[in-house]
Amino acid sequence: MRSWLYTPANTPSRMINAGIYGSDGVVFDLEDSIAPDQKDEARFLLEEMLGVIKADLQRQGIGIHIAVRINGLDTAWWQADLSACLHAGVQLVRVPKVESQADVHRISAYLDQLEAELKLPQGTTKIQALLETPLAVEHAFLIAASSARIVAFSFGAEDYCAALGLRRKEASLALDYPRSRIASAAAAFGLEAYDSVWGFLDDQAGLIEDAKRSRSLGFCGKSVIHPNQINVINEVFSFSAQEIEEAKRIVEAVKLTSSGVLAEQGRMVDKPVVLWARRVLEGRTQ
Amino acid sequence: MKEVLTLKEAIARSGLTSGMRISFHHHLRLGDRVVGLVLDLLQEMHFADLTLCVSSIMGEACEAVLRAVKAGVVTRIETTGMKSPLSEAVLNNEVPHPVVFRTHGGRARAIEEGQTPVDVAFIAASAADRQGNLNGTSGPNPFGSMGYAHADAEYAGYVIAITDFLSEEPLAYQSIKAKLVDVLVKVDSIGESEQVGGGSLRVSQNPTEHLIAERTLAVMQAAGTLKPGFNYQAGSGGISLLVTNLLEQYMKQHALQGGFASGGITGTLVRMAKEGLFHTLWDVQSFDGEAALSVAENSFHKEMSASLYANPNNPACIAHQLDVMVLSATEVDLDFNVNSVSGTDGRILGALGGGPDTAYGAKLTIVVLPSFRGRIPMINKEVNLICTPGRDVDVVVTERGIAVNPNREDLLKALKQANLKPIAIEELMMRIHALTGEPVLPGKEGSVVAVVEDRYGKKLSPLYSSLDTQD
Amino acid sequence: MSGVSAGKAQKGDVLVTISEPESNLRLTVTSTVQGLYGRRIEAVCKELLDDLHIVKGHFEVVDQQAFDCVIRARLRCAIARMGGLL
Repeated sequence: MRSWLYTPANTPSRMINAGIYGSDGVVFDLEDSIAPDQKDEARFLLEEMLGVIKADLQRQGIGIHIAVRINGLDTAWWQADLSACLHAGVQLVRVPKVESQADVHRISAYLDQLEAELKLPQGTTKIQALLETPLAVEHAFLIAASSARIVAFSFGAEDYCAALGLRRKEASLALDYPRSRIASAAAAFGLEAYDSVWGFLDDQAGLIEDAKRSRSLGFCGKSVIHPNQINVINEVFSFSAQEIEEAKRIVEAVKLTSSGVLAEQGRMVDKPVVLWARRVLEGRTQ
Repeated sequence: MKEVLTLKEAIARSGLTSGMRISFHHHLRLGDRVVGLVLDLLQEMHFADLTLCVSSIMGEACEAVLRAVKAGVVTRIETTGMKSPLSEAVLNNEVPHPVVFRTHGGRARAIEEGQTPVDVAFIAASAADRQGNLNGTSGPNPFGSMGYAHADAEYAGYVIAITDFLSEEPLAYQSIKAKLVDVLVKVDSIGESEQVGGGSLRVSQNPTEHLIAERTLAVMQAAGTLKPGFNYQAGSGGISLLVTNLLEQYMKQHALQGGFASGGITGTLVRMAKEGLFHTLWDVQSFDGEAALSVAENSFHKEMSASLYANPNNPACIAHQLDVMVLSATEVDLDFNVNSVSGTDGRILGALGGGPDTAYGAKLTIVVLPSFRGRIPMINKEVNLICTPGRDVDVVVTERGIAVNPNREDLLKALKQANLKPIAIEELMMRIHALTGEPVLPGKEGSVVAVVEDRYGKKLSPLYSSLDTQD
Repeated sequence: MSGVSAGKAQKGDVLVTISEPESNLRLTVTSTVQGLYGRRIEAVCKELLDDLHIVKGHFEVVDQQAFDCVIRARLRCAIARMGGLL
């Protein structure tokens, strides 16, 4: 997925339209954008609206992925959040502030329980782990290995910068390391990796630069907080026409040769390049 | 030298008696203070039973007209549109006779043909010279084109020009010539020009409106409209303005030169003309300060009367030369009939404007609107007021689907080929009602409080008092 | 506790207030789309209250054009906040 639009789960008029703006996914948020005394309201709203939203998107032929960001394990709300999610048919949850294997096991155990209660096949509910702290970044490999439920990493740059005492806009260099580590750990386990949101809505140029940097470090997509960020992010994380052309040529050429190494346009093209070409044509940016 | 009188003297001189027809333009839009000034004075002078023939009523003018109605000064209203609190009063049966809604072209035709002879025209001008020439481009409160005032100036029995700036020098730019003006009145202020466009028209940030605008541009592309020399007009709604912005980007990217742009002219269109994207701007109404001043400054920027714009008796009118028209609506029905005056619930919300004129004349008519506003669906089985007949409407673009009029198989094919996935309007309505629920539409009982006339003066559609609508 | 509320009085939403939990069930609905959807809104509320076997309390529903699912969500939340006192 190239783009995920965050939408607070407390404003019906926004929720009903969250999926129409062209992002590959929507993350309905129960966490930071919902005040503590409105968590229950948001849960009920999500439960009642999700069916309507999905049916509406289906009628329009929009095949968008839906995830819900629940509250963290350090709160009193995460279990009620997960329960509401599963009752509403949500199959993908984004968990904030995951820092260790133990965190993942805790959630997974509760999900096992819920799935059993609801008679869903065990493992139906998948997890996007939000890595937001230096400790989380250091543990990236272990977290990726901890459960088959984990399908993706999402990087939270704001909290990470705060932990390092850096301002978000000045941290470009400092973010190379956590981004690389996350992208690498993700790749090791076949997970997708989504970069952090860019909160400066007036700075579209900054958004593009931030996105391009994360792509060059191995991320396949980015979360956004406003629909007008979607088109540019989709573009940054899509293959260009030239890349698609090149991939087609390579795959065609492979069909014509029996050996693993082939020459294409005068240069040696070996197996990893062929793998890349195949990925491009499958529409995966990772 | 044109005589300068007080407003009271001018009225006394004009020969106005009770029962006659008076007229105003609405070029000062939300900033107009002339309508109120005149109506309040007419009340003081004990005039009664007057017919008000205006190009539109908005802002404080609505309150002034309501005062005049309550005092019996005005008993008949002829307009292209109106707003609160006058609109509620009309729905509540407080105006003795049904309001008549006409298009801009229809109003010009009615005045010129003598269907609605104007006895006294009150024409606000931002500047007048000693000879009596008028414009809307000089002085402290410029508003630009005086397009809606030309028919009044040319055909009214008596013309009272009202200005707050009397120039000793002859006006360099003259909209209305001295020979059409009977008397000048100088007032302290004709209104507030900053409120002409509600300030400078801000570009909408609404992502749903952006989506609709993007799709509209795609429709224009697919339909083959965007070719060198194409003639373009868009309405004043948020989505229409966005379409114009996107069009500017597109035309620059593709080095596309259009023909003329017309209608309500904005600073964006002025900029586009300066960039060579359109060779002419035909201005019947200037929407912001930039456009207002440009009328006098730029040779590509031409003022056009409502008659030149849209009088149906003029087959070569500007509206009939359009390649594409983008307009908004308050609701659309399964026959593609457009309502732009009242909402789904029967409340009066807007205006006819030049919609029916341009919809008829444009080769491609695109109606842009969101699927629903609040919970109110924008597409229904039947509109409660037909303003623009469905046969003149080609495409409806919403954020949840695009529908093409079945009478345009060529367009349907083109949009399908361009992968824009047009759907039947019935399916679009179903998508919308699946979210909003099917509404209980207002009944057609009770008294008729307004009538929509078509461009030729024929009654098209009645509006019923909907007293059962509780707010 | 005298009463609870859920939801917001803003466009697309509905404010549900429950008071007098000891009194017999009473439902008051006001809406800015009374003509178009007034009856339907009442029906949606009654159906939910029936389903949940609610027989007590004064339910005030101030609607600003919310969809059925939103009305249900806010009703259920308000009832949950009453914590079984109905």
